[in-house]
Amino acid sequence: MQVKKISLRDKIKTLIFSIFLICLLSLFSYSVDLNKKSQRFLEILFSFPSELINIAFENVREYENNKIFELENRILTLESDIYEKNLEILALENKRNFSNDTISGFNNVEAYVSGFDQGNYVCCRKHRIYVSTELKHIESSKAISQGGFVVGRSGATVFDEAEVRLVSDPEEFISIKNSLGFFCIAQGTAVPQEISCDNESKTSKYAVGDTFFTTGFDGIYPEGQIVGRLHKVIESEGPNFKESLYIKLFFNPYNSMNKKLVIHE
Amino acid sequence: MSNLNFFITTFFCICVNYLLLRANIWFVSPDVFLLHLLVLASANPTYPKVYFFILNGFFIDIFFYEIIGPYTITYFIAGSFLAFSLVRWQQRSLLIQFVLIAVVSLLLNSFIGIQEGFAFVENRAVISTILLIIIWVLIFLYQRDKWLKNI
Repeated sequence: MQVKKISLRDKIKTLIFSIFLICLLSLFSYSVDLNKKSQRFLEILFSFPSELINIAFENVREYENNKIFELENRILTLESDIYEKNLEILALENKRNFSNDTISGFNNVEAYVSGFDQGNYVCCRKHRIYVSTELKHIESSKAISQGGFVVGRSGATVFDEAEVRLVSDPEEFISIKNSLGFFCIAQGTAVPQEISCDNESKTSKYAVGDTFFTTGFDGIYPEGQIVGRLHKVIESEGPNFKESLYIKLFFNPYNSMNKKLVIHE
Repeated sequence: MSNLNFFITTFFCICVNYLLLRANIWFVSPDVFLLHLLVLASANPTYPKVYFFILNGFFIDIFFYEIIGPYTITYFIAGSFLAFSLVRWQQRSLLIQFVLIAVVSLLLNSFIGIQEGFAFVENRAVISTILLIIIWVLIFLYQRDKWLKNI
């Protein structure tokens, strides 16, 4: 296959005309604003298919979002199940020596944790969570528990929510006992997940790691509910024997948002 | 290839290039117009005149750039080279073909860079050149036997 030879003169002529043509075309496009018009034309030409593509993409995105939403809901349900199963396990671990028949004597109403006053819980002496329920009004001073664990006592109703004073609140008192027959009235220490009680008898039997339960003597909390575990004993200085027992509560408000609670009416 | 076909295929390439730009994959794809030129150079027994190359480049520039330049000048250079060359494109050695493809691709990206900013074509200049060379190797391997019979 041979290529036709072009003379040097023709080459130079072609080049000069080509450069002239480029200049002419540039001038023309500039004078009639051809570039902008052409680009707009191309956009219009593709606007219809691109709209179709956008609609298709949006549909796909919506479908994916729905799927994600469904999956997230499923994850939340599973997490909630896991949380409740963990509570059950914990309850079984701690109730080896106790039976819990008395709770059935109460009218139990289901409720959900709808809020948590985190700022006050961490810094101050006000330990509150908020619960919502189907009941329009929740009477104050009703015991609230979660899967056999003591949570606190209901207080005033604010809008549609009932304020719950946690047992770690320093204004809250609760009658507790351990499996060895030691009884005491504990008070909130204002420290997250902690209550304390004092003992002045040397014959009392308790040890670090003991689980404490409600006695039911206070008339508010049903008997046999799990309160917490003894984690620290401090002996007070002075002529008389006195020990302060610090009990770590099982209920943790940080993990409890939207979780089910029971109000013991 | 007739001049009309040359323009029609160029318009098709313009549509493809527009879609690549819209899909944001223009930066990682070979230059459609240079690929078109490569196919034109290797598949046709005669080349259009230099003026048609210029018109073609102009045709592309008005759709994608504010000022006439990148493709008009690149097509002018490529068209002049093809028209004035004594040897046909496919008769050249593979290495020279690589070098020429790389030079034209880098030149084109430099022109685009002058207009749009060099950061715009920084990665594209390299990616597009490499992809063009790879595609050319594939075309070369596939068409080599046919060309050898015709030469």
